[in-house]
Amino acid sequence: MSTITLDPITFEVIRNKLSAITEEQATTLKNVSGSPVVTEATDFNVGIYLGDGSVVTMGPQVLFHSGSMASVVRNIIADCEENPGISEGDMFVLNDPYKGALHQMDVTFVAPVFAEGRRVAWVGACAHQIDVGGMNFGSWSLGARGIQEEAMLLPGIKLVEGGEIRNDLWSMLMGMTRMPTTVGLDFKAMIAANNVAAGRLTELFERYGLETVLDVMGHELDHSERELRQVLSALPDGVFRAVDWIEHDGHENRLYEFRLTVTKTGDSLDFDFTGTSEQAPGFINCTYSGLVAGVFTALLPTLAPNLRWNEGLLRPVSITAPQGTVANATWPAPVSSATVSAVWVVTNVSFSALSRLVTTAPEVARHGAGVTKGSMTVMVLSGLYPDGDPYGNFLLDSTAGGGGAYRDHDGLTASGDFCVPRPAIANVESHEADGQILFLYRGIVPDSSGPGRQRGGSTVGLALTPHGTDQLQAMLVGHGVEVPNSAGIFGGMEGSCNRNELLHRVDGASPVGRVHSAADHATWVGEREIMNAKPGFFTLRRGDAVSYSFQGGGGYGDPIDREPGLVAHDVATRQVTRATAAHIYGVVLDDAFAVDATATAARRSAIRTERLGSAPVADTGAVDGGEGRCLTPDLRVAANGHVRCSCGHDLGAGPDWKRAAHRRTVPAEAHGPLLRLHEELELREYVCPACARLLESSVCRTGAADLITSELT
Amino acid sequence: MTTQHDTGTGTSPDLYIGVDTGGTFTDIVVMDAEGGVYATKAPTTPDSLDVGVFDALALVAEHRGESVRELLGKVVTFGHGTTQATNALIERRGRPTGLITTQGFGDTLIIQRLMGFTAGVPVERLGDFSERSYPDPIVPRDLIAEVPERVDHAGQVVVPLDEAAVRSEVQRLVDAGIRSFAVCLLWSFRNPAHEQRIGEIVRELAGPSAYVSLSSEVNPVLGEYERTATTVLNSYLGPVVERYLESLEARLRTEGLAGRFSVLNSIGGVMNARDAAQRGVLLLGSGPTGGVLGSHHLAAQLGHRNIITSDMGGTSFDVGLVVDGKPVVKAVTEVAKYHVATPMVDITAIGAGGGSIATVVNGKLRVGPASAGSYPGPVCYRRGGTQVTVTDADVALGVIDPDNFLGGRMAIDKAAAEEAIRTQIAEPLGISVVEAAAGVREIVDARMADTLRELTVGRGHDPRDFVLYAYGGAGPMHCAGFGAELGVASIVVPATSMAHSAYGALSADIHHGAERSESLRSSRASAAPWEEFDRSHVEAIFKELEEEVLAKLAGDDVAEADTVVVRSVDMRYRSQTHELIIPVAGDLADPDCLHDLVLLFERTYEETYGKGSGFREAGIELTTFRVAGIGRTVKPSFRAFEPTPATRARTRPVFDVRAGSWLDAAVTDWDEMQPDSRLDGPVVVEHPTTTVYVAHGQRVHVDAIGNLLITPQTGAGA
Repeated sequence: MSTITLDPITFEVIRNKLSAITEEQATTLKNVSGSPVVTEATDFNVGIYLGDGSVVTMGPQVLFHSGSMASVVRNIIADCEENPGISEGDMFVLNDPYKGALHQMDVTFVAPVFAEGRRVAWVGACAHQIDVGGMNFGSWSLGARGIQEEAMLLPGIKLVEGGEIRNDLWSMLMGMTRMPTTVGLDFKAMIAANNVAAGRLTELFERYGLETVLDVMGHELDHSERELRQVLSALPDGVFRAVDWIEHDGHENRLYEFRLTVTKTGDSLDFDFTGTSEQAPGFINCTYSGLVAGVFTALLPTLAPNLRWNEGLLRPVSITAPQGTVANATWPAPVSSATVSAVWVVTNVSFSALSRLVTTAPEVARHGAGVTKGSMTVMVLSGLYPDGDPYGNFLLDSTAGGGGAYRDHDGLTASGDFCVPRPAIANVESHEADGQILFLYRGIVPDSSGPGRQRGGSTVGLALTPHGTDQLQAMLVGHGVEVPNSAGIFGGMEGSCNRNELLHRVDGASPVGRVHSAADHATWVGEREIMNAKPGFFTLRRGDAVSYSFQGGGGYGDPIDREPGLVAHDVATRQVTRATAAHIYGVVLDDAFAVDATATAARRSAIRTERLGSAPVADTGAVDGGEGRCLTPDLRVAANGHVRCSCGHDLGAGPDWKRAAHRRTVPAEAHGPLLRLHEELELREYVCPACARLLESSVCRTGAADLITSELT
Repeated sequence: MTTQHDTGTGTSPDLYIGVDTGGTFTDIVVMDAEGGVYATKAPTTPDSLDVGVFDALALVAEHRGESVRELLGKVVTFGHGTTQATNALIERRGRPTGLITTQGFGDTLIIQRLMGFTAGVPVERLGDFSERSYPDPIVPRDLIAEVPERVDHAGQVVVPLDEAAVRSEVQRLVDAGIRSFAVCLLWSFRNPAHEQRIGEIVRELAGPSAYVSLSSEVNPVLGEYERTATTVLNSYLGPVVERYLESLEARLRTEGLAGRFSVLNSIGGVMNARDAAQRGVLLLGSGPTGGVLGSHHLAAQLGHRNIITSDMGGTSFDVGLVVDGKPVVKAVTEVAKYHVATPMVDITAIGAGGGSIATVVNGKLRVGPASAGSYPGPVCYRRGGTQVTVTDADVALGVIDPDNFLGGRMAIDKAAAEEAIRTQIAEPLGISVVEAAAGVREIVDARMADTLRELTVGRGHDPRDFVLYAYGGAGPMHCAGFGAELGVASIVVPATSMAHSAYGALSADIHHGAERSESLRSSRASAAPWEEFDRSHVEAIFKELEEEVLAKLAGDDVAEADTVVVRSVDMRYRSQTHELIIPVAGDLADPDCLHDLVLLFERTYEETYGKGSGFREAGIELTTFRVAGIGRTVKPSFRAFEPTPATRARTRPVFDVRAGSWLDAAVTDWDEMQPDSRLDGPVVVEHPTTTVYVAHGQRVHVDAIGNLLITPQTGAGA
C-alpha cells in the first residue's frame, strides 16, 4: 500500500463514509427493484472492492454473497482485461458459479472505478433473480445433470459500455428470462446502485485525495484481519468437528455427507472438508465460491460479530476441500440450488464447529448456539393472470424457521435464516393481492423448537390454495425433511424437520374454512400426501392445498435442566405441547398451566433412570462449574488431561470422552414429534454415567464411529 | 429554572401557548398577539405529567407577574406535545388489550414478518446475533382470539363470520378482565362488514365503555401485520391517552382555559383531545415531530422552502426534512420494535449526541453509538460517568465554558474531562489531549453529516438547496461542523431552539388524515398507462376520504376558508414493494389529470433513483389513496426582539477544529446581540440553556427576530 501515514481521525471519518456509501447503494437497489426476493427477503448484497477485488465493505444483507464477490471481480479482470477491455463507464454482468457466483440466479453487476486515469477500485451489486431461464420456471433446475441445462450462463459480459446499456445484449438477456419485467427492473436497480456508489467514491477521492482513501481501504482489511487474529489468539487451540447431510440430489433420495474438521492454532483457523461426499449428479452441489461463502457466513456472527466485515477476516482462514466433492464441485456439475443446498449445509457444519470453539473461552462463549434453521425450502408458483400475463411467485415465507438457542437465552421463534441479518417475509395480503392464491393459515408450529436447557425457536408453517384460478404449477424443493439439520448443542436436541404436504381436493369440500392449522391436516376429508424433500413439480388444482413448515432451531443444554416455570410458559404460549413438556422436559403442569413440582421432580428422576437403565449415582453439577479448562458447559479438561463432567465424574484421558459416556440410540420421536430420520441415519445420546445429564445429542450415519466434536490441543 | 429567551411581551391580551412534555424537561413557549415570545422549562414529572405542565405554566405566570388563572384566561390556543403515549408503550403501561383476528392468522403479531428483532438496531450492531430479541408482546398469545371468517382480496366473503364463535371468544376475553379490544381481519379494508359486526358484539358483551379499535377504521391499508400492530397499539394506548388528556384538559378548564386545547400528533399537526383519544396511536413519536413542525413554521416565515431539521440531544440525533414547503412523511414507522402504518412525519434517529462515548479500539478512535446519556453522563458532569463523551471533548476545546454552562447552573469539571481524554484517548493514540478532543468532535460531526447526506443526497436532493435548522441541547454547539461538512446553503439556530418542540405544538395547524388501500394497475408494456385507470373511480375514492376529514375539521370549528385538503396517492411500478407518495394536485374532473399524475410519478422516480431508472414497461400501480385535511389556525408572526444592554466584550480561547488551532473566540450573550448584526467566527453565543458555536471562516447574522443565521463558509459554496 501507499506510504502515507494516516492519522486515526481521518481514518475513522473516511471509513464511516465508505459504510455510508454501501448503505446508500443498498437503499437504491432495494427501492428500484421490483422483486420481493430483493425487497422483502433481502437476497442481495452490495459493496466496495479494492482494485484486485478484495471486499472492503459489504451490506448486511444475505451474507453468502459477501464471500463470493471478490472472485467475481478477479475473474472479470482475468477474462476481460485484454478483450473486450475494462474502461471507465463499463459495467459487467456475471452469474457463472464457476467464476464467482453462488448459483446462476445470483446475478452480479460490477463496475470499475477510475481516478487519475487508472482503475483503482470496483463497486458491485448482486441480487437473486426470480428467473434466469433454463429448463424450469425459477431456474431451480431439478433434473439437470449438467450446468449447460440449468440457466443462462454469463461469464462476465460487458453489458454497460461507456455509460450506455448495450441494447443488443440487453435484448438477448431479456429474451432468456421468463420474467423480463421483473428481471429488467432488478438489472436497472443494480446498475443504479453501482452508479451511486461509484459517484460517491469518486467524490471521496476528490475530497480526501486518492491515495489517502485507497490507504484507508487497504488498512480496513489489515485492521479487521488484526482484530480477528486477536480474537483467535485469545482462544485455546483445539480441533472441532461437525457432520451434516443433504438428502435427495434431485434424481434419487441419496444421502450426501458434509464432514468438517476445524483446527484452531494460534491466530489462524483451518477448515478441512476431507471426508465430504463426492459431487452429486443433480443440482445440490456448490462450487468453491459457494464453499467460501458458507464458511464466511458462519464465521462472521460467531468470531467477528462486532468487527468490520471485509475480506481481511478471511486472511487468517485456510480452507481445505477435495475437488469433485459436493462442497467443491468441478465443471460441469449442476449447481443451481447450491445456495439452499450445499452452501447451506457448509454453513451448518461450520457454525456447529465454531460454536464449540467459542464456548471454550468465557469472553466469547455467548456467540455459540444451536444451529438456526438448518435447511431451506423453495416454493415457486406459476400460472397465468386472467389477461394472459405470466404469474410467478417465489415464496420466501420458508425463511420463517426457528433460531438456535444460546447459552443464556432461547432461540428466536420465526428467526429468519442465519445467512440474513435483517430478514423479512411478505404480508399474506401482499401474496394474495394478485388474486391467484389464498392462505389457509400461517402460524407458529408447536413442538418445532429443539428442546434444551435453552430451547430453540419455533418455526412457522403455512398452507395455501389456488384462488380465482383453476390451477397453478407448483415447484417445491428443499432438504431437511428426513435430516434434522438444526443440530442442538451440548445436550440440546434437534429442531423439527421440514414437512411438505399436499391435501388433495375433494368435490364440495373446499379447504378454505376447514383447514386452519397444521393440526387440521389430520382431519382432512381427502387424500393427504406427505411429500419428500424434493417433490419437484406438481399441479395445484382449485381445491388442493399445499402446506409446508420448516426447521425449528437447535436447543442448548439438557432439556431436563430447563427451568420448569419457563416450560410452563412455553406451553401457555403454545410453543410446546403438554405432552412434550412431560415427555422431553420432564415438566408436569396442572390445568391452570402451573408447574406440579412433585410430579415434575418424579418425572425428571424417571427420565434420568431411563437414560442410564439404572438410577444415577451422582447429583448433577452446576453448569459452567468445575476445575480445569472449559471444553463444553458441562465438561472440563483437568490438569492431568482427563475430561470431567460437572458432577465430578471422570470420563477418562484424552479427547474421546464419549468412550466413557453412557451411549444409547433413541428413536426420532424421543426428541420431538416433528423429527424424522432418513433410513441411513440414527439418533444417539451421550449421557454422563454418574449424574445422567445429557452431554450430547447427535445425528449419525447408522453404525458410524463416534465423532470427537470438541478437543483441546 | 431561570427564564429563557425573551423577545418582550405586548399589550393585547391574546396568548398562544405550546407545551412539550419530554423525557427530562417540560418545555413551554408563550407567544403574545404582537409576536413576542417567552420560553422556559420545568422538570418533567414522570408519575403525573400534568404536574410538570402546571409547573411550567406557573413559571410563565410568574414571569408575567400574574396568576396561572389570569394567564390561562388569555390563552386562545393551547397546543400540547407529549411523550406520554411513547412512554406508555415502552414501559408497557397501556391497557391490557385483546385481539380478535381471522382464524389461522393469530400469530401475525408475534411473527412480525420477522422484523421485530432488527427494528431499531443500528447497522453496525446487526451482526451480533446473540443480542437479537423480539419485543415483549403487547398482546399475550392467550388474549389473541381467532374467529372463523374470511374475505378475499376483492372483498368477497369466502367464509362467513361465525357469530357464535365470536361471542364465545369475546366472552372469554371479557371474563379475563379485558376492556380494550382490537379487531383486525384479513382484507377488512376491502370489506369491513365482519369487523363491524365483531365491534357490535364486543360492545354488547363488554359494555359501552369498552375501548374498541377496528383496523378498517384505524388504518385501512394493505398489509395485515402493520395494520394489526397499528390497531392493537391504538387500543392499548387509546384509553391511557384518553384518561391523561381528559384530566389535563379538565384541570386546565377549571383553572381558566377558555381557548382551544389541542394535542400534537405525529402526522404533522394538532388534533382535539376527543379525536386524540380515539386515535391514541397517532401520538406515538409526536415529541420529535414538534421540532420539525416548529422549524417548518419558522421556515415559512423566513422564506425557506427546503430545510433539514436536526435535533441533537444527549443520546440521539433526530433528523427530519421539509421539501418544497412540506414536511416529508413516511408510510410505515418503527416504534419500540413495532411497525405503525399511519403516515408519520419522517424522523431518522441515530445514536450520536453529547453523551456519545469515545473509545480507542486497536489504535483507532471510535465515537458512539454507545452513550452515557444524561446519567451518569459525561465525565465533566461528575455524576459518576467515567468514559469520555463528546461533551467532554467540547469542554476540553473551550467550546463549553466550565464556569458558565447552562447559565452556571451545571458545574463542569474541565480537569476531569481532560484527564479522561488523556488516559483513554490521547495516550493510547500517542497524540495530545487537544488533538484527541478535536478528533472526537471531528468524527461525530462527520458522522452526523454522513447521516444528513444519506437522507438528502441519497434521496435525490442537493444539500446546497437546503437550509439546516439546528436545535436541541448539543445541536447548536456542533452545527457549524456538520453543517459545513454537509455543504448546506446556511444554518439557522432558531430563537426558540431551546424549546423548539413546544414551539411546534404552539404553531402547528390542525391536521387530520384518512387513507385507504386499493390497488389500481395498468397492464404491463402499456405505453399510455393513464388510460387504463378509471378516473371516476379514483374521484370517488378521494371524495369519500375528503368527506371523512372534512367532517372532522367541522368538529374542530374550522372555517371553510381556513380549510385545506391535500390529496396524494402511493405509486410504484408493478411488483415493486416500495412506493413513492405522489401529490394529486390537479382537478380530477380534468381528463389529463391521471396523465399528469403518471408523469409526475415517473419524474419523481427518476429524480430519486437516478436518470434511466424508470421502467414503464413494468406497468404502473396506484396502491394507497390518502387525504390530509388541514385547518389553518392563525398565529402571530414573531416580533422584533429587544436586546438587553450589552455587558462587556469578552473573548476566550477555543480550539477551532476547522482552523486546526487555538483562536480567540468572541463570546456574547444571545440576549445582548444587536438585531440585524453580523459577527465573524469564531464566535461563542451563550444562553442560559444553550451554547452556539460559529467556527472560523463562518459568519453569524442575528435577524430581527433573534434567530441566528450562520453562513457555513463565507464567500464559498460547498
